[in-house]
Amino acid sequence: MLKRFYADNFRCLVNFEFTPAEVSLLVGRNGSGKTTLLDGIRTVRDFLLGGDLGRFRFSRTLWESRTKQHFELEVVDDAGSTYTYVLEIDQSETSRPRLGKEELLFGSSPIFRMVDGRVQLFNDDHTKRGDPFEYSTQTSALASFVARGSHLERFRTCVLGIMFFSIEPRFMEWKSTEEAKGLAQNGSNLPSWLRTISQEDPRAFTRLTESLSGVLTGFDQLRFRDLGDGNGKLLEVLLAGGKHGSFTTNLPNLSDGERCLIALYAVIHAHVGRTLIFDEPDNFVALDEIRPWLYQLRESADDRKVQIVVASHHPDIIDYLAADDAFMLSRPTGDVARISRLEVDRETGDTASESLREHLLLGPQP
Amino acid sequence: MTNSGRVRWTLLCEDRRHEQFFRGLGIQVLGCAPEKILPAPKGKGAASAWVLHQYPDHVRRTVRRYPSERVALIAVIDGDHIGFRERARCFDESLVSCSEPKRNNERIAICIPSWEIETWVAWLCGWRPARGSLDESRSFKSEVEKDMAHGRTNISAALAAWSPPLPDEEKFVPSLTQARNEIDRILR
Repeated sequence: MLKRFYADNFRCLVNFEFTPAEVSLLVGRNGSGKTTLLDGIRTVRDFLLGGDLGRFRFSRTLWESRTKQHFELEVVDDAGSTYTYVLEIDQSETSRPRLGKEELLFGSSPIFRMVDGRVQLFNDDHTKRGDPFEYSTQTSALASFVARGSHLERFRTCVLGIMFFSIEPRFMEWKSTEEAKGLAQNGSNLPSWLRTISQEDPRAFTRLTESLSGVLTGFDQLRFRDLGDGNGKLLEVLLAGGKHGSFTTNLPNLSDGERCLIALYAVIHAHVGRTLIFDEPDNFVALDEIRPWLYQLRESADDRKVQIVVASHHPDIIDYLAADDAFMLSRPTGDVARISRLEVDRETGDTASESLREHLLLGPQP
Repeated sequence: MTNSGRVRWTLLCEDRRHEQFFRGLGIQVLGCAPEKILPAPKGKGAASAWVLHQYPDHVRRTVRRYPSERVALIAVIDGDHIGFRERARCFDESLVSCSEPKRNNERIAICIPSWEIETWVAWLCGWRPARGSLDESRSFKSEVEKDMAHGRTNISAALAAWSPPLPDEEKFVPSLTQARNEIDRILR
């Protein structure tokens, strides 16, 4: 579970802290920093799991002259232990980013440290393991030294469980050339991921088709057809009960919204991740289609103890999730992003979206 | 377009526990999940006041907008120290104040667990206090929550025990009996 994210000198995030709840809603106007916040978490996550530093290039705050960027990512594992990952990056406008510090704390004690290219490893009892040694300042050193069963591995497992989704149905492939262990953030590899689920977790696949039957008109089932000659497998969608009887179609013939819904429901039923982060899941999807998905997503937070973060402008999503913890992002002076908890004055009878209308420019309620 | 026999319903409630209970109850009794769920937002002020503010608007937008269709509204607030009869009057008054007075036989169920939904869950699951009886004379919330934390008393079990009602229900938990009558009206 993601407990805290801190960023300083990252785009519009300056001395910025986000402490998500079990279910968190992020609201704010376009440009308020919602996507930047989610990008910040994802960039740090991807880096410490083995990415390179290039993804931080040009990410310094424009009006800051400081060259140092500072990030902290705090997660809690299933046993309740807290891990704090600290990352410092140095970059000027002309030089490429350089890793200044990478540290992992278990509680308040270090279990990994890299400062200015010198790595110090620690045992799980926090005693130093060996002498410091030189390491690259371009990649995550921590990603390279994960011993099985160690605190480092448990931390890595926690971080792997933080999943991001911002589904872009137009980028979705229509066939699977190989199995995929996870769904890409934009959902592009949906056929490959569903192929894996259909084989490794048939019950999840069944749950998915049952859910889709209730939300997609005429939907009957999903199946794969071998294209032969190593050309992969085509994801087919069986539709039934229409004027023309049953017939088979495929992803490109579905609407953007229908493809989006398949991906969104698959995320719920495949039980991926312990922290699911959605950036505007309502894009492409009609109001009466997003509601049942949202209710199922919220239910999974209770049933499976999944942490959920949703960024949205949609009044229905706002009004439903405002019963949990809602965070409002804004850039009051046009530069740095600020975050505050949304507190609706319930005595007025306003819904959360009504109370935010002026702030979000949502327009009048129909 | 409507599906002939199906009730399309909206749930207006105070919090997630209400939502969990009545969503499950609706699926069980009405045969479908709510089309829309509107829990009170987190914030300052009483959640019950927020539900009472929202209520006339939802009556107008759901039940009265589609009088010939099976469109229903379930509105839920806790009875707390005020009690379910007085709370029910508050619902009626909120309609009058919006010039939309109560009409007979509308598909509206006003459910007022008293003191709280935890009393109903406890009653249905067979939980009883160490001393005295489980009734609506006081709040049992903290005691029941402790039991819920151990998993012995929970909403799923309560819903499974929804029907038939226990013989003494009307004597000890009249707000629950009243809610059954309200929900029956939606089904008619």
